[in-house]
Amino acid sequence: MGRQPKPWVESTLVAYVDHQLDAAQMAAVDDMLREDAEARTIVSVLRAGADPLKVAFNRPMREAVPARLLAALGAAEDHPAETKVVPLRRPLGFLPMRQVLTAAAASIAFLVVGIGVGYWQFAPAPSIRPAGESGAFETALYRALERDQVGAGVGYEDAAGGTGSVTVVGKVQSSLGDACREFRHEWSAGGGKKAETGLACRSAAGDWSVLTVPQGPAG
Amino acid sequence: MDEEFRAGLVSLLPRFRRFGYALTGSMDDGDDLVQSACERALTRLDQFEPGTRLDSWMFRIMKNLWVDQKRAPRSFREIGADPADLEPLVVGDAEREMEDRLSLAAVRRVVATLPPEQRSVLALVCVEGLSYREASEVLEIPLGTVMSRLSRARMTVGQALGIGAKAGAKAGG
Repeated sequence: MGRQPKPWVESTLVAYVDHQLDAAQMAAVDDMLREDAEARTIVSVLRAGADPLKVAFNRPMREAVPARLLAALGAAEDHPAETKVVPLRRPLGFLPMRQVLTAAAASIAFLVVGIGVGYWQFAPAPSIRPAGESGAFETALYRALERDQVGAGVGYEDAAGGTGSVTVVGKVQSSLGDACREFRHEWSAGGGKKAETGLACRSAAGDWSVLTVPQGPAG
Repeated sequence: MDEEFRAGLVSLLPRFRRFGYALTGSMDDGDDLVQSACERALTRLDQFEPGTRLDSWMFRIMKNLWVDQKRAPRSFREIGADPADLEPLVVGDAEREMEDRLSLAAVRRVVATLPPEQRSVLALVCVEGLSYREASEVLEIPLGTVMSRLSRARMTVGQALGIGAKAGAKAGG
């Protein structure tokens, strides 16, 4: 059978990644992605760039608005400068969102996946997932996130006999109010210990989006 | 109306600053843009239609001002020249800090290399979270144009971050 022209264009895939298609169109793209490796690669590229873009310009969301801008709107006349700030959300604590997310962006390859939603299968995962993965890590991660105790590890053993653990190491409040958690994943592979850190943020829909960064041997 | 309008603008200032930062690539230039846009908005109060989105209305003013400024002889500073981009972060080990800083700056640098028409779509959709429809209204361009500009911009960013190369290498190996 002759090779047909690709039945997709990038702009359809970008709309798919951004959930801007209707249900029928989403389903059609899902079907197509199962068959088409090239489209899956494009979706990976599009999806992986989305989160860094979302936070790369977030600094103004965490900082007080400069007095000159408030003055431009006539909002600053009656108060001393220190109080002329728009009430922003609580500033980030010891672990700024920017740092965590940019740690992820620092990696040449990184992973954006959703737990509990349907796109796990399309994640650009294999290059940075631990070998022998059988979903045990995801389950442990999910439990650790749901338990939500900083410092408490959740261990797992996968079907291939590999073991690992997931520990929530800190809470991160983004300026948009996302509930995010930094976690550390440690596991044994090929006789050595490996570790990665990641960030998981809960969406309004309740599922977790996860960003992980491989960090090499854990000493 | 006037007070309500001002209060609405004040509450949206952080987002206007973020949008300005994404468009210009610099916090200072972004704030200059926000300030000009606020001043312009107050003189055009009567043109705002109550019941429509104030943020979209301001984004359009900002984008139009930015396009005008880019036509003017003085160009914006190159991204990375903003001292804030060079400020050390306060926590974490030194190596990781360095990596974080470089990588976040890298994302912003890639965005700054995009053509202005792609950058404005990217800033509205990816940074500000507008729907494609809303972005097409703010920019006054067809929906299909939003999608094609966005896909080009997003592929450029993804590939520049090395994601595409990695995925390709994997597929080959």
